[in-house]
Amino acid sequence: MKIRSQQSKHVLGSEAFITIVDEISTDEMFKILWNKIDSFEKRFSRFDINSELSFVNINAGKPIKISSEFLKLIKTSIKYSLLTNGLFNPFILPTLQKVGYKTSWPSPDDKTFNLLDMSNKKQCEIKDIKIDGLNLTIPKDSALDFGGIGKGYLIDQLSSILIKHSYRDFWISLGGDIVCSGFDLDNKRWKINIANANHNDENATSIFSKEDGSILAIATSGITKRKGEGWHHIIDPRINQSANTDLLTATILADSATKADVYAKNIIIVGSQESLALAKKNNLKIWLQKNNNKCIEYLQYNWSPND
Amino acid sequence: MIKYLVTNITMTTNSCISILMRPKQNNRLSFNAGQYIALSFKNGNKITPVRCFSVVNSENADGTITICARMAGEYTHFLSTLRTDDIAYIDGPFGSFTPNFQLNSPLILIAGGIGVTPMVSILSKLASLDNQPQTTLLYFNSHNNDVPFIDEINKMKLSCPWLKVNIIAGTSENNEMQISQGRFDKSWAQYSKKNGGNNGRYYICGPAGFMSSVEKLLIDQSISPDNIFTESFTSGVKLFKNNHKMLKVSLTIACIAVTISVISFAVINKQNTNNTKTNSSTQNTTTTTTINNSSNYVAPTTSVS
Repeated sequence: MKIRSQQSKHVLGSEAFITIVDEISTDEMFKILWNKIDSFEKRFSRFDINSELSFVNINAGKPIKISSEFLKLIKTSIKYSLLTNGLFNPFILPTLQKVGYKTSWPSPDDKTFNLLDMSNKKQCEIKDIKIDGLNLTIPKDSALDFGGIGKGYLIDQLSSILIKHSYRDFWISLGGDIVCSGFDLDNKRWKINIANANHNDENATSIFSKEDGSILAIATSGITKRKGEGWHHIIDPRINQSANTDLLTATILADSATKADVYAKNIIIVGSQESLALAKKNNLKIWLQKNNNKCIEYLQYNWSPND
Repeated sequence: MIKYLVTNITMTTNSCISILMRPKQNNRLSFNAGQYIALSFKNGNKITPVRCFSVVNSENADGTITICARMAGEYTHFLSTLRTDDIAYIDGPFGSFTPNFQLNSPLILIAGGIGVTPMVSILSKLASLDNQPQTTLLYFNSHNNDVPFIDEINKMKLSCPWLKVNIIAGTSENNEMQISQGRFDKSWAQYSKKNGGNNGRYYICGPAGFMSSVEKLLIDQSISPDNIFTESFTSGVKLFKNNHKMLKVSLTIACIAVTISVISFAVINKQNTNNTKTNSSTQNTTTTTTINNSSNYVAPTTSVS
């Protein structure tokens, strides 16, 4: 008999859920996945002074020998930065901190706060990165952050681990990013809810996983969380400020969570007018919640709830 | 996952099997002494379910990895069917059951049964260093005639002046190996405190019941929970996949390190009124919760990230 097992934990600043349906015990698989998440957070957190990312940022300007995991993520970041013509930029950290997004979970103490403060640095472009084998050099006075891609990238890795270990029926959620594969109990398709932009405990709509059970990745980004007075955390690298957008949220379906994660933020940045062209060009399925005189207007492209 | 090849399979004792693996290609796993790996094997056209094992050796130049399992079920009997050059898939390393080798404060290693595997790895690493802290190994077993790595440990004891070894068995027959009889009790806790003192680092690995009992007795000796580190494992039941049919596989006790069920972990943690550092992915500021086929199931919801 198949069993549905679910575990949750607060990681990467969000609630993470892993659900696996299988006939065999999944305890060890869960353990491996949580370990993967924990080690990812330890390596790539910009809020942890001991992370590899912080080491690279503090030593900006010098060649740093990085781990192969770091190299893979930096190469993926370069790829998406080129694909999006710089709309995704892993060098937005100084801008992000300047506008106000400095602390997170848990808040660093005063001593480490200063070391982690990159707001006096500059925003660079992806072409300024130098890679020689495992040696990485980022420009002096710059700082990397994988906030625009990290969760999607990690969720793809977790999904890949499950597939390699012959698990077919699962879904994983990290904050707004979800990957689902296969089916729920009784071979039912997974039903994925999309939260209302202003009331996260209410669902605005829902969508079903693929009929053939193949992998479906979904990401939602928006400006209604991680914000302060006059700023939110989606930075438009073209203007070095929080994106001036008419969208509250953008939900993207794609074949990988990395792609969905990156383009969800891109759609927010370009706003509803340009979103259609961006979706067409990149074969995205999008569902948007737009701010319309304090009401929410729903927009969609290439979207079907039963897709 | 990194591909390895099975290189050698040996019976360490009558009930324990050791598997030596070498990297298939240039890619190799880098790990610290005391860590564990997730391991599966190619079995015909399928891949076996993943299992976690502590690495027995410390990292070496040829990149080999040895694990040891106690034969107690179909899975570990499957291990005995492995042949040279069979393919193994290794993920990891995992865990932080690794002492800081730069520190000089005494190390007290307390192992129950096959929980000795990470200790052997730690001792091997220590032996390769120029300077070692005073180290005491307390190694508890059910029977004196089934003690994995007893020869290796006794050899180390003779050649390493920094190492004290006590091997203790619950039952003792034909005692030719100088194995004491008994179990971890107040007197062993006092002995541990005497050797480790207040600054000592106490590493415990074994079955959950053994570990909670040892921890409690150490804390009764006023040893700070901050200085106690644990690595736990459980036995369990696991099923092989085979064309969606289930084949029951009862798993080995012991060697399968660190398969702690989240729920039992939470219970153990609750029982321990201390901050003992448990090496488990489930340890975090937020407890992991497990829901099985329950009405509390949370459906996937994407909200703003």
